[in-house]
Amino acid sequence: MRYFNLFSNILVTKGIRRILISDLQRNISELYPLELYEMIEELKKKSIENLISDYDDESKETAQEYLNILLEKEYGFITDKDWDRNFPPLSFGYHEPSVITDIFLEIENIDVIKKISSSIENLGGKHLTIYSTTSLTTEDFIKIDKIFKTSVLSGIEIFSLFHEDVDKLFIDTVHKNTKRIYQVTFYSCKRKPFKVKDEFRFSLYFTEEEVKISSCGKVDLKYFNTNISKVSEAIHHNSCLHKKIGIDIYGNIKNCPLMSESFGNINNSSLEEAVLKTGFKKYWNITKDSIEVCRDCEFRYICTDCRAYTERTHKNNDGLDVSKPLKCGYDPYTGNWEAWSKNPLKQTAIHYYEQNNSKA
Amino acid sequence: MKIKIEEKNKLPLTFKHIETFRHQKLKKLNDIIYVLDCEKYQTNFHIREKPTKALTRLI
Repeated sequence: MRYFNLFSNILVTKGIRRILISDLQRNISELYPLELYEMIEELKKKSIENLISDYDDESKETAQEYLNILLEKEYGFITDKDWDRNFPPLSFGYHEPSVITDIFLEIENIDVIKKISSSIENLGGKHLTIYSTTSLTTEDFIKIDKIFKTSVLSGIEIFSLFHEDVDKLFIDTVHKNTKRIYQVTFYSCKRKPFKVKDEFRFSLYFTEEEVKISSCGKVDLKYFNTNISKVSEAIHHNSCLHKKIGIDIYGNIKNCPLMSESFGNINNSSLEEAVLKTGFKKYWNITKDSIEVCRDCEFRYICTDCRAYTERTHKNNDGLDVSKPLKCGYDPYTGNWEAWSKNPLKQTAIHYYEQNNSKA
Repeated sequence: MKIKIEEKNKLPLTFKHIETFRHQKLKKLNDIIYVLDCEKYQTNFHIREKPTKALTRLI
């Protein structure tokens, strides 16, 4: 008798129509038909011979083909006589010592950053994302980096409005004088000032799009991440808001700068105080398993959630919004991607957010 | 930055045990590991990291 052993680093996520197999060592996810899920589950209980004999003659060939795929993709291996017990399942436990890992900041000028830098140190912040509504100069970039010269922050990402001074020399100066910045994006850029090669300490992007902070929350294949840290966080916590803090352009401290609820203002409250306020962590443990529609989606552990823009259709017993993210055009019940903004069922929610934006 | 801890026992010199591969291709630029100074963690080998998930989905 032969037995199939699934490697511990292979995570199978069952959707309503398809399954997603994530290889957490190679960091690749692939889609397969639902019937493979049943087979993988059966293979945990039966030998290969017993499993194949359960199928009718016509299906035996398909079952063998599925088995070949599992072996080809190196999702597992075969042993004789018994399963190899040296591959117990992974716990997927998520442990993160920092109180806050991600900080999302919307700024008009960089003075705000200095004000919150000591709080970032105390909270153990790891990644800072800055969205600037104005054009940043080389001095601004260098000053931002210098504020965090010996900080616990391990990376800074900046979105800045494009301006005519941005050229090769500008970027070279930033490259030579900064350390923590890992990504810079200039938006509203009609024409790239030069051809970008992989030559700087940071990734550099120029986009024609007039990126607004309210453009955030899109759900798309390009934003999916297959890696063990992301997946284990998503299994236990909210993949966007867990250990995140946001500050909007007015200095209001929020879970995300795009959400309406505020937990104080940086002018009269510290980030440490805001984190301790009742309700600050209420969304931290809302996983995709408890969000409508997402709970049936095969991408639920590699996708990043959004609670700022939702379809506003469902609330849980605690009054928390558990509706599907508004900007997701994927329907797990059909397996099709469509333009979310054209979906007639989303129009009420789209209208609601448009009205709110115009008020702000 | 002042690092208060000093290494009591220096690490052994292991270079003589390292096999070199002269023909090996150079690593791609994005494989470079950048290290930073960090006062709180008392190290000058704080690794610059990109987040493991998409923190913003603006574009």
